[in-house]
Amino acid sequence: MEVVSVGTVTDGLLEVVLRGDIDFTNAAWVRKTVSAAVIDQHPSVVRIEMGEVAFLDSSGIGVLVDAMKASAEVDASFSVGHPTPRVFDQLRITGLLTAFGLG
Amino acid sequence: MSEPGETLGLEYDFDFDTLVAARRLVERYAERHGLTEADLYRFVVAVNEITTNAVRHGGGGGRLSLWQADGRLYCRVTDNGPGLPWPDEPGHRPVPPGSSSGRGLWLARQWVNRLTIESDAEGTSVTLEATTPQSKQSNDP
Repeated sequence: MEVVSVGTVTDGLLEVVLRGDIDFTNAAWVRKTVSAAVIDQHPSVVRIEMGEVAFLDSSGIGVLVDAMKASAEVDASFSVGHPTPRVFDQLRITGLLTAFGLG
Repeated sequence: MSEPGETLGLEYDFDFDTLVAARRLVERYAERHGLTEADLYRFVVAVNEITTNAVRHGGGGGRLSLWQADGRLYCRVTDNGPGLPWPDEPGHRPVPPGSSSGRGLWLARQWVNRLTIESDAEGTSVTLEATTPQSKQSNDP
């Protein structure tokens, strides 16, 4: 299964599902996929589902930040959903919980 | 040339195409030497940030060495890149939430016991140290 799946906007919500390892080797492609979907589809709410992400590096965190920025560009709210405790810890230590709607 | 109490480890040359393989290798080695769960994840994340930096800024790749000594686990990542002008400076402060990059070294520094950087015009060498659970529980040899 792909590391990223982008849905179509339903009732204003765009749901993006990330899976597996999000790291430097695939971050550029994931970033492009997610940011393009946000800009093209103009949702009012963007949610990134992280429950199936087993590994995240700082490049992957950058992908999330860029998705947040793309959401702001189209005036959509942005949140990250269901990170594993390890990934949650990682987002906490990088100071992103509040920005990602997890604080 | 190992010190007393030091277990000879392994070495692996990596580049962009083998970054993930290098990460799996670190994970297996660390797991075999006592790291579990969150401690294991943190060590793997920290080492992965340094190997990724070597690929991005250190000439496209490098060599990682893993070994164990006195209940501690070590990983050294060396590259032949241009080196860092101020090796002690980066990664001591978190970057603002709106920044797309710059979190790697911060994360690595947070998640190991000790991280030391040596750098000159020949390249950069980063050593990461983790305490294994056995040595947390007891100071016995």
